[in-house]
Amino acid sequence: MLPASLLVASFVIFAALFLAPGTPLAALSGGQPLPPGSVQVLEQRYHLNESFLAQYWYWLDNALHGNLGISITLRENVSTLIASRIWTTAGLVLYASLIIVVLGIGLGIASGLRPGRLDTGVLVVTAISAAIPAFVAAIVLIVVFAVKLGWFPALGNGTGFLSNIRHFTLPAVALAAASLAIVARVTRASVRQEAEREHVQTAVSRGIPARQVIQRHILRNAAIPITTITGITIASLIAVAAVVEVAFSLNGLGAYLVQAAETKDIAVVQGISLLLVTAFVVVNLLADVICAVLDPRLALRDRPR
Amino acid sequence: MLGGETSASRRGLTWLRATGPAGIASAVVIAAATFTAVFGPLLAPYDPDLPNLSLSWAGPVGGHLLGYDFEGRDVLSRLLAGAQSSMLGPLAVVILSVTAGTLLAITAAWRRGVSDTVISSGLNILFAFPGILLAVLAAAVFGAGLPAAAIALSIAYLPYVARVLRGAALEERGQPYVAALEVQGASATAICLRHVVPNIGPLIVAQATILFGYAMVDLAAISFLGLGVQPPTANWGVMISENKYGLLLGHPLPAVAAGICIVTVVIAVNLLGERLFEQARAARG
Amino acid sequence: MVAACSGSASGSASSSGHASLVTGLAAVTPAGAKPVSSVVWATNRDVISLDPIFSAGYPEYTADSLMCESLLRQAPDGSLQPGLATVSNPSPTTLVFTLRPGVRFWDGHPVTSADVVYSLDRAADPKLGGYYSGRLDRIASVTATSPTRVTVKLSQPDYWLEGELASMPGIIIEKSFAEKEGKNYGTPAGSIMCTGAYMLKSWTPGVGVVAVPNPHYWNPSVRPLVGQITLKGVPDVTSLTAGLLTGAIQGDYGVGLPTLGQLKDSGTVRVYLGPGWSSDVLEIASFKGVLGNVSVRRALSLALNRQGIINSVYQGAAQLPRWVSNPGTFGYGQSVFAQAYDSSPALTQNIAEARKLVQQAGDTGKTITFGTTSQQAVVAGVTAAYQAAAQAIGLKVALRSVPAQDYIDFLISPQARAGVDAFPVVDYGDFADPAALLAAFDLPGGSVNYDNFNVPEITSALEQARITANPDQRAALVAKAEELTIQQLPWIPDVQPDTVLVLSKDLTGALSSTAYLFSPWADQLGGTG
Repeated sequence: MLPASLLVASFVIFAALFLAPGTPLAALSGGQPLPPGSVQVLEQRYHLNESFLAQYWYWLDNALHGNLGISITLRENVSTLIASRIWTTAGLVLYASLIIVVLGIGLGIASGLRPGRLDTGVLVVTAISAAIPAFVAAIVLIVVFAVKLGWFPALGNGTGFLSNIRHFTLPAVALAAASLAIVARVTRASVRQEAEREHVQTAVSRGIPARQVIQRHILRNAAIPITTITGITIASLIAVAAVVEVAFSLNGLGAYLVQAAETKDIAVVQGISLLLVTAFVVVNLLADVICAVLDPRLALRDRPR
Repeated sequence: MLGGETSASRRGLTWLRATGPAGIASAVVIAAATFTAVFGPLLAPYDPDLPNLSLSWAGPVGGHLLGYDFEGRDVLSRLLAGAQSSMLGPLAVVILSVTAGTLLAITAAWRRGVSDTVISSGLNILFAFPGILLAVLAAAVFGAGLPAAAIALSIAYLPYVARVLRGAALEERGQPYVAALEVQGASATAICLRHVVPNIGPLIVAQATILFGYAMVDLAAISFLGLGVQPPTANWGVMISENKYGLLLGHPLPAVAAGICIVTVVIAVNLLGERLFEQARAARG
Repeated sequence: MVAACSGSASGSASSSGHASLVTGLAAVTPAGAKPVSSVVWATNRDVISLDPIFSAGYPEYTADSLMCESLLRQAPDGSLQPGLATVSNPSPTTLVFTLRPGVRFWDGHPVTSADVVYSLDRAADPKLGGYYSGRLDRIASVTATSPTRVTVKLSQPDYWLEGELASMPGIIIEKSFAEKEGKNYGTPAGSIMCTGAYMLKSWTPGVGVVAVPNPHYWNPSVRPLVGQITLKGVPDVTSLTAGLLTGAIQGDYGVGLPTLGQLKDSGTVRVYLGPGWSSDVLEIASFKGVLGNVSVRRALSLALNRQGIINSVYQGAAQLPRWVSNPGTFGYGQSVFAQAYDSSPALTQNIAEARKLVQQAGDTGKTITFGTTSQQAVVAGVTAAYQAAAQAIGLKVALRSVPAQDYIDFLISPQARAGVDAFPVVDYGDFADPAALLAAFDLPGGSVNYDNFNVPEITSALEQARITANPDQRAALVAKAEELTIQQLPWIPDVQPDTVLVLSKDLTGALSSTAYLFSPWADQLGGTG
C-alpha cells in the first residue's frame, strides 16, 4: 500500500505545483525583476521550460535512484536539506507523543477508574484543552512562560541535548495539548465502559484482587480503542507540527514545507511531503499492528472483502 | 432497533434532552453562533472593515466594548462579522466530507466485491494525506483562500468519515429487515435512502458534529499560516494571527477575544458530538 | 530615540562619524570595547545565497556585507571611499583600480588583479545569470595591467558605476577558490572566499550563517571583538520580538517592526535610529486607470496622512518626505542636495483641496484598486492610510489582497499587476545616490517602470547625470530630476523610513545607517565598556 500511496502522492503534488500560478524564481528576486538573462539561465538549469510529464519523469527517475533533486532557492541537494531538519521535527513529535501517552493515557485511566473530583477536574480541563488550536497554545505559552516568566526560551532549537530539551518543551506542550485532551477523554470513556461490564463485575464479586481486575479485564479490553485513538492523534501531530514550528521558529520539516510550497520550490515540497506521508502511514500501521497483537480477531475483521 | 423503524419516527427534541445539561448548553451555544454567523454583519455596531491607524490598540471606550484592533477597527464588530466566515468554513468542510463519505461508505458496503475493494483502497491512499499538507498544496495551486482550504480539509477528512460509516452500513446490511425488503422487491437505492441512511443517521450527525470542531481548529491553523481566509476579511482565526503581537505589547484583548470565540464553539461541538456519539452507539446496541 | 553619541570619539577606519545633514540622525553607534563570545543576529528570513551576484534581499546583503568586501566601500554617511582598492579616472571612459597593499583572502592568499578581473567579469557576464549584469552594461573590458592594478574601459562614461562597485557586483572573491567550487560557490553545498574581518565558519539552512573573526584581516586598526556571529532568519514578528525581549536574539535591523515601542521600553535592548536610504512609496502600476491623470495622483498625495503613517506604522522611526528619494542617500554633492531639498516644499495634507482636484478631473466616484497584503505590517498600515485618503477625496477603494509571499509578484509579474492601480513598497537603490532609485522607475526601460513612464526632461536630466564627472554638477541634475518627479508623481512618496537598529543593551558598535547592507557593519561590534 505504501508504494502506491507514495506514487499517487508524488504525482498529485507535482501536478499541483505545476498548475500553481507564479514561478519558483519569484523567491529569488528580492523585489526587483530578475534580468531576462538570469531568468533564462535559471529556467534551463531547473528544466522549468519543459512539459509537465517530462519534468515529472525527470524527477521520478532521479528519485528512484535516491536523488531527490535540488532546491531552486538554495541550490543545494534536497536530501541534505531534509536531513539537517528531520531531527527537529522527529524530536518535537516524539517529545509531544511522550507527553500524550504518559499524561493523556495516565489521566484517562486515573479518572476512568475513580469517579469523583479528579474525574470532574479532568473532564473540565480536557474539554477546554481539546478546543485550543496548537498555535493559540503556542502564542500563550511564549508570552507567559518565555517572555513574562523567562522559564523557557522563546524560540530556536538550542545546541546540545539538554539545551534542546529546554527549547523543545514549550513547543511540545503546545503541540500535545489538544491531542492529550482527546486521548484522555477517549481513554477515560473506554476504561469507564469496560469497568461497568458484566465480566468485570463478576470478577470483582468473586474476590479477585483489584489490581488483577484492572490489568487483566479492564485495561486489556480498553487497550484497543486507546491504541487506535493514540495512533491517530500521534500521526496527526506530524502535520500539526508545522504550525508549532512556525510559531517557535524551529527549523523543522513542517515549517520548511510551508515555506517551500509558498516559494514553489518543487523538489523540496516533493521530498518533504513524501516523507510525511510515509511517516503518517507507518505510524498508523504501527497502531494497527499493536491492535492486532492485542486482539487477533481485529486483524481479520478490518480487511476489505 | 427493529426492522422498518427509523429514527425519523422519534422526532421532537427528546434526543436533545437525552444529551443532558452539557449537551443542551452546547446546543444553545452552537445555535447562538449560527445566529451570529447569519446576522453578524447586520448586528455589528460599527464598520468592521474601516481602518483608523490613530486608534490602533485603543482600549474599550464608549460603545466599543472590546476596544480596537491593530488597525484601529472595532473588535466587537469584527467578531460579529467574522462569525460568518468562521462558521461557514467548517460547515462547508463538514457538508462536503460527510456527503461524500456517506455516499462512498454506502456504495462500498452495499455492492461489496470490486467496488468495495476499489473504494477502500482509494480511501487507504487518502488516509496518508494529513489535512494541513493538503491545505498547503491547495493554497499553492488555487491561491490562498477559504475555498481551497475547505476542499483540502474535506478530502483529508473523507477517509475517516467513510471508514466509520462503512462499518455501520455493513452492520445495517446484515440486518434481517433488509433481507425482508429485498425479497419484497425493493430496489437497492430505495432501501438505502429510506432505511439504511436514516438508521445510521444519528451516527452521521454525531460524526458531523465532531468534525465541525476539528475543521474549525484546522482552518484556524491554516489561517495562521496565511493560507486560509485572507485578511482583511473578518475571521476569528485571522484575527488571532493579525493581533497576536498585541500580546507582547500589552494589548491582548483583540487576539484573546477571537480565541475565546473559537474555543467556546469548539468546546460546544465537542461536548454535543460526544453525547450524540454515545446515544448513537447505545441505540445500535 | 536618537543615539546619544555621534561616534566622534572613534578614529576607526570604517566610519566617518558624520550625522546626516538633513535628518540629524547618527550613522554609527559608539564602537564596542570588550570582546563578546557570541551574538545571534536576526534577519527577516533565512539567507538563501552567499554569492554576491545572486544576492538580492536584506538577509543576503546583510550576510555578504558582514564577510565580504568590495572594490570601493560605502561609508556610513553614504559617501564612496576606497575599499579593497583606490580608483582613479584618467579619462571619462577609463577607471583604474589600484589594490591596497597587503589585502589578503581568509586563506592567506593575496588579492591580485586576476581575482578582480575574475570577479568583475563574473558579475557582468549575462550568460552566468548574475542579477547585476545589467547595471554593468557599460563595461567594455576589464584587464589586469599589473598584479595590483586593473583597468576598466567603458563604452560610455558611467559615473554610477563606482556606486555599483561599492555594492554587490563589486565584491571581490578568490578566483582559484570559486573556480574549484564551480556551481556550488555561495550555496549551502559549497563555501565562499572573501576578505572581510569576519569569515564564514558554517552555513546550515534553517539554523543560520555562522561567522567568526578573521585572524589575518588586512586592516590592523580593525579588531573583530565577537567570537561568533550567527545570522538567523526569524520571519515571525512575534517570535522576533519575544527573542529580543528575552535576549535569545541580540541584534536586528528592524525593517518595519510594529513592536518598536515595546522594544524601546524594554530592559534588554536599545533602539537606535539612523539615516535611512530607503523610501516607502506607492508604486503606480498602471497609468490607464484612475491614476493616469496627474491631478488625481497629486490629489491622492495631498490627502495622505503621512504623520499618521509615521506614528502608527513606523512608531516615529520615519521622516516626512519632500522628494521620492530619502535624504539619507545624499552620498555626494551634499551641500547642493541639501539646499535643493530644503527649498522643495514639504508635502502637507489638505483634503479639501485634494477633493477639488479630483472633482475638476471629473474622477469623483471612480474606483482605485490597491494591491496589498495584510501579513506585512508596513504594507497593511500604509494601505490603510491610502484607503482613508482615497475615500476622503471621493474615490471608491477596492483591495487586491494576497498572502505575504505572493506580494512580490506585484513587483515582478505583469499578470499579477493586471487590474491593480498601485501598491505600496519600501524600495532602495544599490548605493547612496538618489539617482540609483530614480533610474529604476523614471527611465524608460527601468526595472520597475511598469507602464512606460517617460517625461523627457526627467530622462535627460538623469542620463546627463550618469555621464557627468563633477559631483556637484551631478547632484544638481539629480536634484532637478527629483523636483520634476515630485511634480509628475510616477511614484507617490509616503514616508522616508529611518534605519532601525535594535541592539542588546550589552552590545554596541554596529552601523546605524543603511550602509549596513553594503559594507562591513560589525567591524566595531563588541561589548559596552
